[in-house]
Amino acid sequence: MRFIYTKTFAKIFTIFVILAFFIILDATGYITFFKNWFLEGFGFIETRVSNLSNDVKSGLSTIFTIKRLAHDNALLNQTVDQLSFENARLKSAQDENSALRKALNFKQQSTFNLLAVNVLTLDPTGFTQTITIDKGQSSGLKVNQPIVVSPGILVGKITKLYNDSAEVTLITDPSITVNAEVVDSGARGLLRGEHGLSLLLDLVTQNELIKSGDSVISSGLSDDYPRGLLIGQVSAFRSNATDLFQKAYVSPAADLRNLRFLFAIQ
Amino acid sequence: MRRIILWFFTIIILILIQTAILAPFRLLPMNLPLVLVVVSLLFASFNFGLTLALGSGIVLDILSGLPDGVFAIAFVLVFLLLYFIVHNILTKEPNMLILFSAVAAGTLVYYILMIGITEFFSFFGSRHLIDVKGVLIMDLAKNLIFNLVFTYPVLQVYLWIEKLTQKITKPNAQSI
Repeated sequence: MRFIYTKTFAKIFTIFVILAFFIILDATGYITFFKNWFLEGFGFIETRVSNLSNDVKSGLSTIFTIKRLAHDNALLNQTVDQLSFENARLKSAQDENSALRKALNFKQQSTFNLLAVNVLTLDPTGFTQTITIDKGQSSGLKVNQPIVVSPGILVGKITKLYNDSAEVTLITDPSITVNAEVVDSGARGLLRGEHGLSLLLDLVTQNELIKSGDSVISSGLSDDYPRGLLIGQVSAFRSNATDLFQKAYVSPAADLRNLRFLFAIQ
Repeated sequence: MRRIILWFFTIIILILIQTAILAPFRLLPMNLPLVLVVVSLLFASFNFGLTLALGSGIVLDILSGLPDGVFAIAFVLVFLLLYFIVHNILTKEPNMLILFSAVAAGTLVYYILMIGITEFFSFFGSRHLIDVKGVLIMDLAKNLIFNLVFTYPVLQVYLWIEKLTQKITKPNAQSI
């Protein structure tokens, strides 16, 4: 008997018909409500279990790091003193800056209008760097809006919208590019995800001086991200003097595998 | 029906273990539903294994950022390919060596299929593309190791759930 007349073929055919229906229903948006409901339910449980795991993890790491605490404390005290001094200096510079802006009739720098969102799920497969958040179209979110963690650290942008949830692609995903700037030198380049591990700052001209530890922010050149969002720190270099452009690895400032509470910039 | 509901929750729990318990301890990437599908192709019937592959794929599709259908197609194809090899070419009683080899082969085939299917979907306007070099260099080896490490626990879960299913479905069989 030919294979196409067997029961096995009929079963396989049925499975592929179901699959085709699933893909069509998803593309036409008929299962969006079910997906939302499933994501919210799964996200609710996942958040609680994940919090518990993180508590256990931090409890265990406390035991292991307790020896280093005294040394770390001394170091941190020193850093606090240094930062306090720097903070005072920056405050004075900010006052001076705003006074000068006023005098020159410059537009005041606007603060961000933020909307708090919670993370529902992280992509469990590892093939993409995406998360799902608990607010969507009904809360006024739009595709391409930047997502940050509280102190203005860039996390990613909204790439797919549902009514009550949204998919955010993280900056470590290769499909995301950000116009970035190195704070100290002002060097500008294009930042792109390196498969969830780090970020690659590319297209930086050879005459710019960038060094390890330099902070990298969004330059605001494209409309997608406002200027000044912290992305991370330069961690290593991948190019040599003969290359046309400099390339540097940037470690993300946010812990992208442990995101819980975020903000959408509106 | 009870069996399917029980297995649906088992798949959800395996994904929860993967994302909420093991991921915070940096034990990633791994794919426990894939290991379950490979276990089922050795120990369960063709019909049930195929249903499990489809169900696991659809759940992962809903939770992942890739276009819906990618994981379901990959899981079903992995199941069909390995089922054919194990039952028509090897034709041996399943043992631990076959199980671990099947998990390793399943993981490799799964990665190749995922890359192929995502590329195929990109022809139809899907914006998601897999970073092939990154996935093959960074993820594949780790995923292979973690899948092999968790094969035995998943096998135990499978056997336990099957026992539980028999217990649940027995009273019904008697009443009939």
